[in-house]
Amino acid sequence: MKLFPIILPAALLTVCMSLGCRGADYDIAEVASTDYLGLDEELDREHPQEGDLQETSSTNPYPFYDSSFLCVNPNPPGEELMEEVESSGVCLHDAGERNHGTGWFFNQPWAATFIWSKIVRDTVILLVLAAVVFLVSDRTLSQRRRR
Amino acid sequence: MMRTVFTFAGMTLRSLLRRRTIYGISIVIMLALFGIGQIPSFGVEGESTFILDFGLFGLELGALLLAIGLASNIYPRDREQKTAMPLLAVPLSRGQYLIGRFLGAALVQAAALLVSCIGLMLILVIHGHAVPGDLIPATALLIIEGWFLLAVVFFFSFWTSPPLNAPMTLLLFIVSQMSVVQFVSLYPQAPGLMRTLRLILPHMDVFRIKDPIAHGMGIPDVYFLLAGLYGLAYMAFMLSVALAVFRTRDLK
Repeated sequence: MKLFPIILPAALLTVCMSLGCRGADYDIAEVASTDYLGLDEELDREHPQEGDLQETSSTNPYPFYDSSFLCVNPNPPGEELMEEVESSGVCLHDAGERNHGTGWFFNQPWAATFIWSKIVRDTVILLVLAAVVFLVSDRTLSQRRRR
Repeated sequence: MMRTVFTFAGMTLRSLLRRRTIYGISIVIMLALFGIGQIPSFGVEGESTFILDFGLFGLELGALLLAIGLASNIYPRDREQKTAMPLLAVPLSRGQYLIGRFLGAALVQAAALLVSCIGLMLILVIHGHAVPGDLIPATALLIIEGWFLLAVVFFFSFWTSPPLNAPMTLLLFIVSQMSVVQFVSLYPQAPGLMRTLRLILPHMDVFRIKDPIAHGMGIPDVYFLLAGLYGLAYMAFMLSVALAVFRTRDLK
């Protein structure tokens, strides 16, 4: 009976939110704009993946790691190596940029700026809830003392 | 009123420093950092990335261990030794007791994490690597995460036993790191319920900034502020819930 005032609002909240909380959380797949998510698909189309490489090169799926190639070129990678890598179908990107291989890295809250508004929203909600819980428990305690 | 709280926080701090738990956990953190620094790089570039990544992960785990080690036993011990009753009978209200205990433990935890951060900086310098400018703000975020975990441990300590407190806090720590998709996949038969639960649970990934720091990427200052405020707000919420539970407890 004591838990009734807690369980009822919690149950109502759960039902309400279950119906319409899609997009309310920090899930990048739900809250990111199509432009942001489209980047991955676009890059996947532009650059062949592992499977595609296997189709084009049946003998060695990873041309970059060709041991004979490395033996011929023992020196650090130069222009020749870079040209060879590019022509082999392996895609290269500048460091520190979002691409199809680093999507997970840039989908974290520090990088996904459109999530920041949700962090602010949650901060405000939590502060209000903290005040409400404090005041309600304080009132309950004083009522109990009066009795 | 605040003077009473600060006096009680000072008493808590002194009693925690007399215990061996804090020194044991701090030694484990420092040994882990020392071990990370000893792994040979074999000339591979980016050794600092490795040290920073594992070092900050170690600090985060250290914050969790410190929260459990410091706070899980405070209230049960006060109750067992009958010191809680005389304290709450006259000089302190239950709110002052909780805030005083929390402040004392939070200060010890923050000091331990700061010392560990300085240890990590020393390891980087000894190995000839530059110390990233964001390491101190990152440690500050980890301290706030630690304070939040401390509030969670206090909340559990008012209605569970210490042996149950640690696994429950650990479980919350693990599920709070999960994304919505990962969390829903734990019980895919009820996606709505799981989605709602995930929305209510804290988002610890907000504090996870070791990846950009380890890879030398700049983090906007405003993000540190937002993440810090989020952590403090969640901490305040957990403390108010803990107080609400504590106010219903019968100490007899």
